[in-house]
Amino acid sequence: MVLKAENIVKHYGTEENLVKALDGVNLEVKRGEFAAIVGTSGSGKSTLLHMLGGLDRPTSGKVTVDGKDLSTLKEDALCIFRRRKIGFVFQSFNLVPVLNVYENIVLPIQLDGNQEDRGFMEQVICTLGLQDKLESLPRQLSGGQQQRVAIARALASKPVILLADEPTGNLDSRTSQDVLGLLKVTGEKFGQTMVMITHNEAIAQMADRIIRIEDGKIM
Amino acid sequence: MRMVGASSHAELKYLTQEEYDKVKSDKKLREVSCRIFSGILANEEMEGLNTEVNYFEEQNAKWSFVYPCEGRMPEREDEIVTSDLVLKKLGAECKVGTEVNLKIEVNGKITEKKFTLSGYYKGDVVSMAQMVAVSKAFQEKYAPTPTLSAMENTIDVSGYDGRISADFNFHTSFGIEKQAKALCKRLGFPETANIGVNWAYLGQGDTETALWVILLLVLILFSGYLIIYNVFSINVYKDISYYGLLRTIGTTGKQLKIIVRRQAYTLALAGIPSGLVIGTIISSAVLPFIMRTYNTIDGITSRIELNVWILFGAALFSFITVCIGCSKPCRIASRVTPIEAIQHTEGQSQEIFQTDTKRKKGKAAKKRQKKTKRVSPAALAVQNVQRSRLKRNIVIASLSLSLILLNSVYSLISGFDIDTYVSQFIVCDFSVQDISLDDTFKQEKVMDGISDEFLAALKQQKGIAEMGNIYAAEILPSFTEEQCALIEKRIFENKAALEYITPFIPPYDEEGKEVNQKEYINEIKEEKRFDGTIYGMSQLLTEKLEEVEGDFDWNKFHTGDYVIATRFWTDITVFEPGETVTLHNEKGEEKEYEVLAVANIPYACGKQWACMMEFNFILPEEEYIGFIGDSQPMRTLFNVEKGSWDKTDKWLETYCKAVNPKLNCKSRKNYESEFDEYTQMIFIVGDGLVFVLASIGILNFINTVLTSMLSRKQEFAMMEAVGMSRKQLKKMLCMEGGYYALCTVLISLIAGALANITVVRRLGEEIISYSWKFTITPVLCCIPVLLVIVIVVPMLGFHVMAYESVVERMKKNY
Repeated sequence: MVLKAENIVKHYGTEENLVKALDGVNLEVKRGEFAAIVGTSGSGKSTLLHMLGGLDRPTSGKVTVDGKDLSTLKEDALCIFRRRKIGFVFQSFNLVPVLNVYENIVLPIQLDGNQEDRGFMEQVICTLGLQDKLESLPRQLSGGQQQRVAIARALASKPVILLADEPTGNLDSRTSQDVLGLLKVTGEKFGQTMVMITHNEAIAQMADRIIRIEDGKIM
Repeated sequence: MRMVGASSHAELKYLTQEEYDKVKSDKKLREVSCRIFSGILANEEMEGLNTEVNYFEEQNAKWSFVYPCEGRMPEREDEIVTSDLVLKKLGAECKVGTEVNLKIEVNGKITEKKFTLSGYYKGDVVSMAQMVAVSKAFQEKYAPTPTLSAMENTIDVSGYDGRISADFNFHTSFGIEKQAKALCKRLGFPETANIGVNWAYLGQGDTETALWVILLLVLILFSGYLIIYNVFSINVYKDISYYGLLRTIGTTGKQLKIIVRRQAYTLALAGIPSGLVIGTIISSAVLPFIMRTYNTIDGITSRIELNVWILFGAALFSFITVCIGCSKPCRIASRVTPIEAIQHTEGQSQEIFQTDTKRKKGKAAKKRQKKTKRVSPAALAVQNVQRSRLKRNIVIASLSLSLILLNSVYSLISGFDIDTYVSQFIVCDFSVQDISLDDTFKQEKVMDGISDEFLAALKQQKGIAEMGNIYAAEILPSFTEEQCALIEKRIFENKAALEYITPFIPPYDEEGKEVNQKEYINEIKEEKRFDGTIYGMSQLLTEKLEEVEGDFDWNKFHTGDYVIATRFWTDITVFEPGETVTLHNEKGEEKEYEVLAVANIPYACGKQWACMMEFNFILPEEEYIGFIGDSQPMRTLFNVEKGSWDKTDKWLETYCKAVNPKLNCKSRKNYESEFDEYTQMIFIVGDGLVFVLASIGILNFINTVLTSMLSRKQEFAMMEAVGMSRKQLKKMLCMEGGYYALCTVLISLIAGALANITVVRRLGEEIISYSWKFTITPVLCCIPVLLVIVIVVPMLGFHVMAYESVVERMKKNY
């Protein structure tokens, strides 16, 4: 089991303003699995992803990634854990504007002080069709291209799990199809475990498993 | 200006009425006003305080700092205006209506008359002469203006009573000397016309200096603009999603512009008046101090006048800066769209944040690529700082500027050498001499004013460590043939020596004929028209001699067979050690001495005036008395033991006042405090400027760092999400600060050193007793301070930002 969430609760605010974003979520994802979490706006799917990725801490409950209980890690240790074990793809690409495509892709590896696996990088880059854009700056790319760079970045450090938060939210439908296709292909090619969040049923259909969430609970 | 006693640009002296009318009719002069010399005050009580009598036109009285602060200008023949210092010396009450008896020397005749005080002004101790202003009626009666022109220098103007001095101002104070020359040409006056330029204005025609001043002003203004711009940018960046929201619900770009502009106006409404108030308070606190040292205001006191126009100008300037400063943020706010607003990151050239020129260059920019380099916090820091090059350059420039200035001010002040300054005026703790020696205008100097009573009284004082006397007698030397041959060879055949003589050769002789310089010098040589002074010195003072050449040994000198020869114009050796000179006393007896050494007498010890062909010699005190005859010292100098200063100072003051008012005392402390006041003023002005520049630099830095952090908030959150630890983020921010610090230090070191070698050195050369030293210590000392600032500011910013969790910060995206 790569990812295990046990009885995750996340509350915001106090008393009268209490918002139960997550209310006792249990979830398990197996190695190599591509799971999609589907829910309407405000259902708690993004919050769940943040908990799974160690970006936020649950009010109660336990998240285990690759056998490591995230709650035992301090801020900086958690950060280092993230860059080694978890890859993120965000809705708004989130590339560093002053770094070129290649630098953006290898950012998590080089921040770790490691040398990237050139052969693997080449495969990822070719699969995503970025080989001609390596020295371009993010602002010189289209939205779809930027998201492909973000996917490459998420895959670069060979994470145990890739978390994608509405990866096509900012893209038009055609580009969305392209990006999702690539995501699935690369995932399969590199045996990557993936969890994707979406509100779009059609997109969710591409996943091996669909998990529905509503009012902070898994249906 | 207070020393010159005038604030006008220049003056034409010794004019007749006809010539003055010509000056007055010149159209290129802004204002002309005259004074007419009408004698000098000859009352016995006025000993030591040189006082001139003049008729002043009203404007001229103001320029000459003699306009009454109480009362009015004299109108009747028996009315005068004078300074409180003169009145005090005369023992008269400082009150309008007081009657005083004055003896006025006009055209060699002394007129004694009773005058009524129609007004008085506050006298200034530093000015060269005090003034008595008389009425036109008095001047016309006692010192009528002559009609013979003095332009060609053909008549003796030493008795220039009644001649008109026309003081005038040009339209600008730039290049006064040139303007003055042009004026003489225009009026048809010969080159020999007596035109005097107010030396307080000299140096103002220097365009290079003016350019530097303008550059400095522009930099300060530009930095000010940048602060305002940054403040508004921060606001707009902070509220950009809010503007996006407003845009979505239908606010037009124009309305958004108005919102931002309103904010600016509200801030300006509060900021500008408080700035004016604080500025006024600070300037009224600092200016009087500067005024005390350099009084340049027309009139009497250094009262600070609030000039409404200056305040208005400052307010207008600030307001315009605010308008310009907020115009770009306004544009950004007005062009914002909801999507763009949530995606904005500095340097990420989203469409709205591009300037028009950048948009045009868009296509070209697309082709630009970036070479791949290894990513590390340090490398990222460098990239980040370079996102906005203009901002980076301005922050570095304003930080560097304050450091360069600090360095320059420091090196200017540390170059002031108190010892050289003081030693020009005094070589021991105290110096006592006849009052006439310290009065520049006194023609007859008393060279044996130290009485036996004073010496006896001084000897009884406790705490005197060492003392010495200087005697001096002006005796025309008559050298032997052999010695004359030496003089011919070393002076008359020496070009360097002749250069000292020629400026003293009058252009016309007594009959008005042009003088031939060669012939004139020949005459001096043939007729042996030499001057000379024989000095007698105690051991203490021989130790103070300057540039001693030859083996000087007091015991040998003391035998009475030797003499110390001084240099011709303190530069050219006439008699070398080992040669013999023959000296005469007043009785005509002669004695031959061997020259033991060659030296210069310190200015503070000598008689303080010089003649064209002067040969001076120094004998030991006892030999001097033995050879010249019984005489009294010209000066007595002495040092006191530690702790006896105040007592001796007090005793001397009372002695010179009560027992022997003909004696004058100068002490080292007088000059030291004068020096301190001078350096303190430069320190306050210079440091004030440094403070302003440093504040601007630091504020700019804080602004720039905070704006860039604010706009990169989501970027930081994202970097944390993909695995950049907080430690690395902090490291990156510190490196960014360090980059600013490094550039600032490098530029400051190089430019500071250059400024030190060029500007500071040149400025220093114009200041007495300044010994230039190369220094960059202040820049080095500021490095730790700078490092603290550039590290603490981003750290604090990060600390505040990190309150929010990664998700909260990233959420701002959605």
